[in-house]
Amino acid sequence: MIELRDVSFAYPETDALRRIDLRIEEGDSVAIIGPNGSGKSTLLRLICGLATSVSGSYRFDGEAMTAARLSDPRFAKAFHRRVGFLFQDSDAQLFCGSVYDEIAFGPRQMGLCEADFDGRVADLVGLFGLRAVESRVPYHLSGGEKRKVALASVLALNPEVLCLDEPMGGLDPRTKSSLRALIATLNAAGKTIICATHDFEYVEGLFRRAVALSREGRLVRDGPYDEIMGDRDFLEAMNII
Amino acid sequence: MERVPAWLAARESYEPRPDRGRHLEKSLLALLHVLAALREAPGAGKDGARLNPALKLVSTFLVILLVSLSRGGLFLEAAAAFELGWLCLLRGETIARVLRRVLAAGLFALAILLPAYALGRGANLPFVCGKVLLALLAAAIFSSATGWPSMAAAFSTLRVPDVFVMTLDMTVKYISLLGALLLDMLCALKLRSVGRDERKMSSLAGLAGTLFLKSKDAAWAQYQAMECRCFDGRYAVSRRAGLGWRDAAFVAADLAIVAFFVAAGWGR
Repeated sequence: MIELRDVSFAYPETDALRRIDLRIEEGDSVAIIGPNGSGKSTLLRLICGLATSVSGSYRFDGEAMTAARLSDPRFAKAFHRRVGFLFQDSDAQLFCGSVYDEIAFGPRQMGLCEADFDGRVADLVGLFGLRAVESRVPYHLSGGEKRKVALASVLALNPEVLCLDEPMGGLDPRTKSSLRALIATLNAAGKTIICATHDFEYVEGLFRRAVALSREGRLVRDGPYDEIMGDRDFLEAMNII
Repeated sequence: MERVPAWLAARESYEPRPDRGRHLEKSLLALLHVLAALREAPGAGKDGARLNPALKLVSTFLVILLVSLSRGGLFLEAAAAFELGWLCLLRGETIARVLRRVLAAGLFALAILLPAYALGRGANLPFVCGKVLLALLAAAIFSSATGWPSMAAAFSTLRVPDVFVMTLDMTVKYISLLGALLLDMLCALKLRSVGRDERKMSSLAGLAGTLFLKSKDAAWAQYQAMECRCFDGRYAVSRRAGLGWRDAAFVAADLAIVAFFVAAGWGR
């Protein structure tokens, strides 16, 4: 489904990713781990088409994801519908006047009929337990509620791939547990989960696979999550724990 | 946790509805340029001669003032020589950027003055354009060769009121921070704009509203953090650079240009 070959990416000041080879199949659940500044968020941004690599190739469902391809609005919109992205800072993701409007933003654009549209929003409000805050301004919600609204607004588009950038960051233990259960449910329902995380305590058993990035932005290990997380020497040497 | 609804577990076939307007792409691109320019500024103080920022500020004002007062081409030539000499102290890519910016502004000035030429009053056209170009060049060299922290230090050295320096410093810092947030918000909006947005203005108003709330919160948090660290209204800028031989040479060049201005009959 997702195939990166020899992909590199650089910001004006620094190289973020160097020669990444990565293949992710449909329905997979992958944790991207690494120290701060290792390029985890950049990798997610590349996967969801917010950035394009300076070298190498990225294919999504066999289709080359080049800057030229992504500048075609029709193609880009169809692609963005399929690959959802949860930002690290939920404030950056919420811009509507109410929780209802926030979740309805995507389906409204998709041109769904009124019944489908309302049904989608109601389902997500119920799934995330947001009924009590449905008419409130998202900006004034608690951190956990904001994260849930942000995820619900992404899920309203029914993406096949979910890129989650530090989804547990800044949440209290109960919210982390409920978010963990939700991510597991979504993966069980067939969604491909790609998640950059530091919060290992609350994601245990959630991922089948881990991809470790070094401080220099190189992919240094790719394998079963439990196996990599069990190698304490490696994790300590890479400054991951 | 509840089971996910059936539609969320099903694979969906979707063809985006066409939408007119590329306001998101244009806004993203424009914002990226502004942020890149702001991020460039702190490192931009690396002009070859590493001159004292306060001295650069005074020189810039002086050159702009003299160029504005001058009434003859000879002084403008001398000022151009001075500015080109200063420009040569910068790095290659900075020189290219400064010249691009100045020439674009110069062409704009020329375009505005062309009707006067067409009406037979264009005798002063090269002179006025030259003045505009030189004034812009001086300002562009200063801004390209001086990072924001150095500018704050320069204002502080020149005894500009602390509140002004602080406001400038914070504004620049927050433009950059809030700009980065706005960039993320525009990206989020773009990612979720998967069809026809019937409420474009409403979406953009939402971004502006969130940005305003965020900036208000950030300003309040910053004020409280400063109070916790005993802020008493005085804003100390720690970097007050001393004067070296390069600065002495620069002062000599400044004095020479002033002397030339006087010797040329007050800029005639």
